[in-house]
Amino acid sequence: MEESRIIYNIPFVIPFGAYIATYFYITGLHMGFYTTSVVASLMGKVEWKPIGKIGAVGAVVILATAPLFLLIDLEQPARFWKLFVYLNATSAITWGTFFLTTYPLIGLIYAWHVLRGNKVPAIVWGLCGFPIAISVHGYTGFILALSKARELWNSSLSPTLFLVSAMVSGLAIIIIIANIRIRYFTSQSSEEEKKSDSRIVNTLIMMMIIFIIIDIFLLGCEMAVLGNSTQDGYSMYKLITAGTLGFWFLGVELFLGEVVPLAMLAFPHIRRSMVGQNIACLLVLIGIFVMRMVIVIGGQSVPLH
Amino acid sequence: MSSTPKRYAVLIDLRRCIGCQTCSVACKSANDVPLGVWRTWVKQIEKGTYPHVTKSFLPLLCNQCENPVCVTVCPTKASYRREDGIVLINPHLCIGCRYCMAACPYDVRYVNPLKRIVQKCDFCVHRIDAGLAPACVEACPVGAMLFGDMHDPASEIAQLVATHPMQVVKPEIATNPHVFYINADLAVMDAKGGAPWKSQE
Repeated sequence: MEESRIIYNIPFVIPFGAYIATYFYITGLHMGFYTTSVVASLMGKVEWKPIGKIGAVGAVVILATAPLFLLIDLEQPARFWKLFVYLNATSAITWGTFFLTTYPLIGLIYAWHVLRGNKVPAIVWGLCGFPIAISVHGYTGFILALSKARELWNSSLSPTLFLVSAMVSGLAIIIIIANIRIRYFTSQSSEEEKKSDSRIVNTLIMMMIIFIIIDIFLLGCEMAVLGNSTQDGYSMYKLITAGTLGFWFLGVELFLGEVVPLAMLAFPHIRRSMVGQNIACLLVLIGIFVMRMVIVIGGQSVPLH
Repeated sequence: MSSTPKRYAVLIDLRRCIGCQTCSVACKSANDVPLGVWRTWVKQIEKGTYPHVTKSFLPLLCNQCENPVCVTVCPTKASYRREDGIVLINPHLCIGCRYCMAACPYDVRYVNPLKRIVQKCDFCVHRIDAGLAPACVEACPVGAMLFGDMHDPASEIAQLVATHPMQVVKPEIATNPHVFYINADLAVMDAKGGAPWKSQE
């Protein structure tokens, strides 16, 4: 098309900002906590119990902070109760309202059984809460995917990408907490117990590596299609690769947050060292946080008018 | 056509539009639109190289879609569609989550900085219900804007839409907009505003 110049147009706004991106990040951490905890409970082995407890308590604690970000983001916070009264079945936010209120009840019961060491009830409640825990984060992917004007969001991969990156960040934070526990709270443990704890952390590291690889694969699929879709899709592709968000997407999210941790953990001596593990996990946590920011804010950075 | 009694629409004949922004000003005045936000505005572009240059205008307002994304995503049903096709926002139900703004394909919604709720063009529904045309249509000094009932075969708008080549903004996303344009330039319909990387392609 022949080159044209804008003489007059109104500025565009970015409706969803950092609070929403942070909320998505928190619900992702929650899902990672909970899923890992339920898997640990299902294992049924004594040595996995600490991970089960960290995940169960972490999920409840972190999710308790999530609604605050939503509330302070509202233009009319005092009207939040209308979400429970005036329901719209086609709105992903309405779905989330119920997931966010149902989960804490089941999550608390699950955490109580895990902490009390009630094996069977913990598994039953854990499995009951599993679909809701997945939905608490999964619906955020749908919030974006159902906005059909936004090229970066309107993808059937969005919910899956969110769930996989949630597992990556959840595992990363659990590994850091498990290492802190091993370092500072297991001085009374026997050598055998310490070795067993290290083995479990190594298993979690392997799980995280697998999820990082899936995450990179999904991002690759998303980018390949985005760069070969509509004109707006191509604009978005250029924005997050060669444009102003290129540094954050390619540099921080992809390279620092996924490639560098993968490369670090490929070396056995780094993979087995506590410091190496923690640095890799910290990078992963930063990378996933930047991913939320890039998707939420970057996704609205191509004007529609 | 469906059997609903009325289906309001606006037609803008860009062969007549001179980009004077009278519609923007009339809208601001009729709807108490605060500073810094707009319900309607005229996008202007310039293309070509001297002496072969031209300016194109595109008055933008809410498209009152047949399949409005804003209504689909609003969690409190504050955004709703009247039987006559006008999409409205109930000011008492809006919680200001801005999901409708993120989902609207046309960027026509804004947060009222004073009332802290989302607002947009509603075809001046208070005027329509009083038997008047929207303020922008009424004020247009060159008669480029036309308002009417698409379900009335005798109406001027229904006849013009039936007999002229028409464009709408982003027909590909299946919202079925009800603001029609005659003679819209491809360059001005393209959302290039504020996106310098697009114009460099």
